[in-house]
Formats: sequence, structure tokens, C-alpha cells
Amino acid sequence: MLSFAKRYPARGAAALLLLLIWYSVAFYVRLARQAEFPLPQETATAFLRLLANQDKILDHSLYAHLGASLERWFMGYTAGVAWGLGLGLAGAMLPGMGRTLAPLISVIHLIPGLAWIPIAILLVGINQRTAILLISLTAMPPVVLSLQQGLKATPEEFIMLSRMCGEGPGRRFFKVQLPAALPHLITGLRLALANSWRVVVASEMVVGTGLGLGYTIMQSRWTLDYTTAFICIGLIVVCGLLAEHGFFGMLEKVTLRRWGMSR
Amino acid sequence: MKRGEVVLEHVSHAYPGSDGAVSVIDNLHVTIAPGELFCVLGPSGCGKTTLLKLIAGFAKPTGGRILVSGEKVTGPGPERALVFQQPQLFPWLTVAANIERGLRRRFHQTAPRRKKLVELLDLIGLEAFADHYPHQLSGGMQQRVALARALALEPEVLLLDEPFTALDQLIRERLQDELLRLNRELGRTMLFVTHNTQEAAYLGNRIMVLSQGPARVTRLLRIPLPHPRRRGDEKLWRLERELYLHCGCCSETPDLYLIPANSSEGQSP
Repeated sequence: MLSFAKRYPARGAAALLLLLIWYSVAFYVRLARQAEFPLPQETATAFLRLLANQDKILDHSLYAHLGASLERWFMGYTAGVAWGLGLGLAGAMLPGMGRTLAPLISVIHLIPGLAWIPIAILLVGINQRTAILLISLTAMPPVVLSLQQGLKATPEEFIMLSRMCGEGPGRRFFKVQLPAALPHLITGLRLALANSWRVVVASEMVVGTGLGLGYTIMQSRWTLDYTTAFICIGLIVVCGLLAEHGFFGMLEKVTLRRWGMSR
Repeated sequence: MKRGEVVLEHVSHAYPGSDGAVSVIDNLHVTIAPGELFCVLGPSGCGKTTLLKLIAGFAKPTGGRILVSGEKVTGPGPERALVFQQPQLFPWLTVAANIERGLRRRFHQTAPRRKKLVELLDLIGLEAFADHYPHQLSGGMQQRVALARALALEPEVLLLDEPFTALDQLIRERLQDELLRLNRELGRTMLFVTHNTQEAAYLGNRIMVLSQGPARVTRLLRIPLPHPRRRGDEKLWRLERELYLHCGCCSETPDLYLIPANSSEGQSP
């Protein structure tokens, strides 16, 4: 990890670079293509008006769109993690089942989230549940795979110690193998979160249901409201960063970093 | 049968290989007395660790049998505690919780378990670190906790697999002295595996020298020096030198300074 003294100047420089690229692209588009490419200050002003609820996007407030996306994300991710953990644990307890499932999960893992759309539509039609099904299908494989990998990576000595202490298989699993698998599992949960967030936005573009950040971005094709689209892209990034650093940063602080287990 | 006695009866072990079985241990036949600090000395990869795993019960010998306190070893158990080269503490548990894992089997109630825990922490001199996590401790302290966790099982035999090899010399010598103190105070049988001649000469009551794999006994020696031994002592130095020659890595013939413990016991015909 970088020290504070190195991290903050680097971040400031990155932000400046981003602004520089933004302005360059904006001026190029305005000059060469005569199109109104939103400038940073325009985007900022529009964002403040949306925050203050003075403007609406497609008849809804910014908060409604953001809330709809976050709700889909939360529901899809929770469902994906739940059956990911369920399958992973079942596979660990019944090795035969684990071996049968492993190739299937790997195949599912390779299918991009959006490629599930035909199957999802056939299964549940086009509605809120479509997006949640897509999201959970993308979130599940990394959880199963990381759990299996983590369990496999448990040091042999830990298992030997547990057997020497006379611990049974159940206690050994929950008190030795599962905690030993935690670094892998957290990495998997993290990957699942990032993957599923991307699918939230993408699925809203396709199976749009009137609300959501992805839906808004897609609609800017027709409304020509690019400034709003830019704001939504920014919000997507912020949500991803908050989940990544806020939630997982805290989770790792109370587990892996406290135990010196970070990989 | 005596508690803490370890009997190896013509123990052999082989792994199945691509072209026939690969012999790792060949016909070890020796009796280790209760309370003895018995060193097994041999080059790396000669099958010393396999021998400990067999005694600990994590593998079955393909030939012969192993008796501990008169009972045949059939699987792992707390009466044969193994200490590894690396401390192998559970990183998600504090020092106290790591040691308690070993105590849980015998002490179901919290109060006596706590009392025993305090005793063990006192024994290794780490009372102040009870609530620390392993990664906050130095390598030497971690290995002491590993020792305490093994002792928490109240084993009849302590099996030590090069436990001090990964430590720097000063810490290693301190822990060697602590191990001698534990051996004296607790009177437990200790089987100490090492590839370090100096360590074997300093610690052992007897030393079994093994050949490069498959492990055969090349010498079984009783060390005629009483404990406590003085590091840098001339006799100890000569012992080390002879052990080095006995290891068979060198073409010089050893002078017969050491007294064979029991020539018929070391290698059966």
C-alpha cells in the first residue's frame, strides 16, 4: 500500500489529467463535429440542480433513478452471494457434488452477464426480476469458485493440527477450513460485487423499465441530454468506488488486516 | 507398558511411485525411553518428517509397527503432539485462543481451562501477549506459542519437526534451552528431528543418525555429556564434528569418541 504522502498527490494528478482529457475531447468534438459535448463546469451545474431536485430526469428525480439501480444491485448481489455460498458449501461437504458442479460453474462464469438476456426473458419475461436474475447469475460464480479455491488452499498443517486436537469434521470445517479460506472468499465477493454492478447498468440499458442510471444513459440517445448521461456515469463510478473501498475496505480492516492475512 | 515410551518395530515406509514403490524409511528398530530427549539427525529429505508423520498417526507404515505407551498407533491423537518447522498458528485467533484450541478437549468448563491457559502462557513467558494476534509476534515468540499449543494437549510424546530451523541463531539457542527446561520440568518424551549436528549434540540424550533416503540407521549414539551442556565446550565441539562425519556426507573416517548406545538395537540384521 502506498503511503499517504505518495497517494494524495498522485490522486490529485490523476484528477487533473482526467479534466485535461475531458476538455481536450470536448473541444475537439465541438470544433470538428459541431456537437454540444458537455463541459465539466456545465455537468457540475446540472448535477447540483439535480441534487437539489430542481430538475427531473425522464419525469423522475435523480434519487429515484439512483435508488432503483442500487435496489436491483443489492437484491441481485445478495441473491447471487446466497446461492454462491450455498453451492460452495454444499460442494465442499459433498465432494462428488463439488466435482460435478465445478465445470458447470466455470462455464457460467465465462458467459457475459448480458448474454443471459434471452434465457432470462424466456424464464421471467421483461420486468424487475429479469435484471435481478442477470445480476445474480454474474455474482454467483466468483463466490463459488473463490470459496472452493480457498478451501483447497488451507494449509495441510492446519488440518493435521485440528485432527490432533481431536476436532470432528464439522468443527474442523467451520473453525479451520472456512476461516483459512476467508482471504480467497473476500476476493471472490469483491469480484462479484464489481461484476454485478456492471451488469446492473448494462441490463437496465436493455431491459429498461423506466428507472435506473443505465436506463437514463441509454435514453440520452433520444433525449440528447448528454449532460445527464455524464452525471449518471459519474454516479456509477462513485457507487462502485464506495462499495469497493468503503464496504470491502472496512470488512478487510476488521478481518484480514487485523489478522495479518492480507495476500 | 511405560507411559511415554515409543517403540519402533522394524518400521518401513514406501510411497507408491510410477515404477514400483519408493522406499522412504527402511527397517527402523529402536525404543525411546519415557522422558528421553531423542534426536533424529539426518540430511534434508531423508524421510525424517515422514517418520514423525507415521508416529503422529497421519500415515500408516507399510511395514512394522509403532507403539506409544504400549498401544499401537492407528491414527492422530492428542497424546502425540506434532510441532512443525513453521509455527502454523491460526492467524485469525489470538495467542490465548490458539493455545485454548489444544485445551478444549480436556477442559470443557471455562474456569479450569482459563487456569490452565494462564499456566501455559506463564510457562512460555508470553502472558503479556495473550491478546495479540500471531502476526504481531516475532518468529521465536510464535514458535513458543506453537509449543504451548502442543503442550496444551498434554501429550505423552512431543514430536518436533525441525522446530527451530527457521529462526535466527540467537533465538534458536534460547529456545533450545527452553526446550531442555521443558523436558526437565515436564518429563515428557521428546522426539526431536533436525539436520543440524550442533543442535543434535547440544540437546540429545541419544542421537539416531539416518542415511540419505531411504532412511536407515547409520549410527545410534548415546551422548556421554550430562545436561546442562556448555556451548563452546571442547567435548561438545568434538561431538558435533563426529556427528558430522557420521552423517556420511564426508569421506573421513570418524574417530571412535562416541560410545555406541546399543549396537544391536540400532540396525537389525
